[in-house]
Amino acid sequence: MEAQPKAVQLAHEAADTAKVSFEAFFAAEWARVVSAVMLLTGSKQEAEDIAQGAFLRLLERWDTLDHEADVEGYLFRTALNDYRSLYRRMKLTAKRVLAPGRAETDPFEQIAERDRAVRMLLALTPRQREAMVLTGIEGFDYQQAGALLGVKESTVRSLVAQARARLDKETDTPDE
Amino acid sequence: MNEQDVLDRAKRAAMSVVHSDDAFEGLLRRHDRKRRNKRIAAGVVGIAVFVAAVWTVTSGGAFDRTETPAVPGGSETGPAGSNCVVTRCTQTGPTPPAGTAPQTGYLIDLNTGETTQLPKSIAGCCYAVSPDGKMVAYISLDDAGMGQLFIARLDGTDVQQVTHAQRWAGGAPFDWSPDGAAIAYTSGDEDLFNIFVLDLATGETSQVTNEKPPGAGYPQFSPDGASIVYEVGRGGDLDVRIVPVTGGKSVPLVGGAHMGTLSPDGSTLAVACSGRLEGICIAHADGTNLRVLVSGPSLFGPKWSPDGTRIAYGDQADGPTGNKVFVMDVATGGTTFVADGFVDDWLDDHTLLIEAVAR
Repeated sequence: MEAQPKAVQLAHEAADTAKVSFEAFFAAEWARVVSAVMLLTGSKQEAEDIAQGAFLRLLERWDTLDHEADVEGYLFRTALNDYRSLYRRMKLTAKRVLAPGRAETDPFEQIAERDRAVRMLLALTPRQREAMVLTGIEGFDYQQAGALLGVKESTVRSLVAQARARLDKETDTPDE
Repeated sequence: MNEQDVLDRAKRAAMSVVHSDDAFEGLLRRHDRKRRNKRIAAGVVGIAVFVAAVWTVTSGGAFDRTETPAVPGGSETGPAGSNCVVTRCTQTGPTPPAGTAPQTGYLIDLNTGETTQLPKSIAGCCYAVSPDGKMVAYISLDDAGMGQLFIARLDGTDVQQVTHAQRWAGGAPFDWSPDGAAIAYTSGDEDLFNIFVLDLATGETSQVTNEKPPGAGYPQFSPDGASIVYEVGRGGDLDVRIVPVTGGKSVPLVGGAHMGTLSPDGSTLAVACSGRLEGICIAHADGTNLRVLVSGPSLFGPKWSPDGTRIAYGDQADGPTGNKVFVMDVATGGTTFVADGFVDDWLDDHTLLIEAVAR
């Protein structure tokens, strides 16, 4: 895994000193979680909703949480479970369809329209995209990603290899 | 642009639109809302227990189950201040918010290509056609912004809100029982969903599944109406199971699959495979002999035509917001592109109900 994110350092430090403020943890980690989920869903609104739900659950357990444990893993696991919940996605879908007036234009969808890199990533299968975002962008190793996704390490390796092959093939074609 | 460039650029693009300005305040507001709702729910339960205890003492005996309850519908109670039977709420209950959503649902005749928009009075999402082809069930939002189940005639008349739950009761899809007397649907909150069956005549609901989080969804009646095929989340993946409509012990059908539905003659199960196999798969009704019918990791939502000769399905190959509808001939395996959007249901053997929206 790459250099520890600030939020993880904060969580680890909390084990030695007073408990880290949840607000500080949130400030350090919010953008990272939202952007990661955004690359899975293709929607900023949906990503913010999922990330908020994950942080909410973390907040509810913050006082009793073992801050030496894998707080970051808990957060990502919760967000991923939410993302993978078909029922929740149906709910969001219905809300989007039924109350479009309440929803502002999603800026990430607009970026996806014009940014080839985002479009290429979103065109991977959901499982390949999850594996790539966790290992290639968020810096989790294969074992950690496997634990987060509830699959074997070898499955993550296979998904990443498939995704890389597909991205390599796409990048061989000239930019639009 | 190499592969790592793609990832770096995508991450930068995502980070560029994330703002943290009032995110923490938003989280605290949601936290407060959740705590308030829990307190209210606890209060309601407490009052109900107290009233029941007083009633039991003053009436001197156990509940008479033959008596009509004051608020039919079990846990799916009527709107506040009313005691209406849910199927009679059209005139006496709150006005459904129909017409507030864009009307994106339409019928398409596969023989002629002719399309017909659904009436604006039944604007909503995620339609399911009744067995006689005269009614549709769909989701619309109630005044609290919660998804509720509505039914109406296909011509847009006789709109009825049939669930009034204090939680989300419009988890699509849902399914009409073969005799048209009941609807199986998904209800729950963001932590846990389960399958319920609503008796349209009495308004009573019964819980069919009792799964652990994230729970169950996508209920589909067996052709004899005695069982419900559904999907359940397990360890980050989904499995398809079957359970008696009266509840009880469920039986696994296919692992690593979702959106299961039995053919009209009950002999064949169609699922979206997402495990070892990927695509639209079929199997014997007991889940054995699983095989891919159309291969592809982005295929989902198989729907049998009433005569069982064709399966409509969706393809999300263009990313999470792009969806296409295809129809496959089960005998030949030949597929035909129908339209962009989502396939909701078959009206008859040659007519599909489609939503032209990105979900």
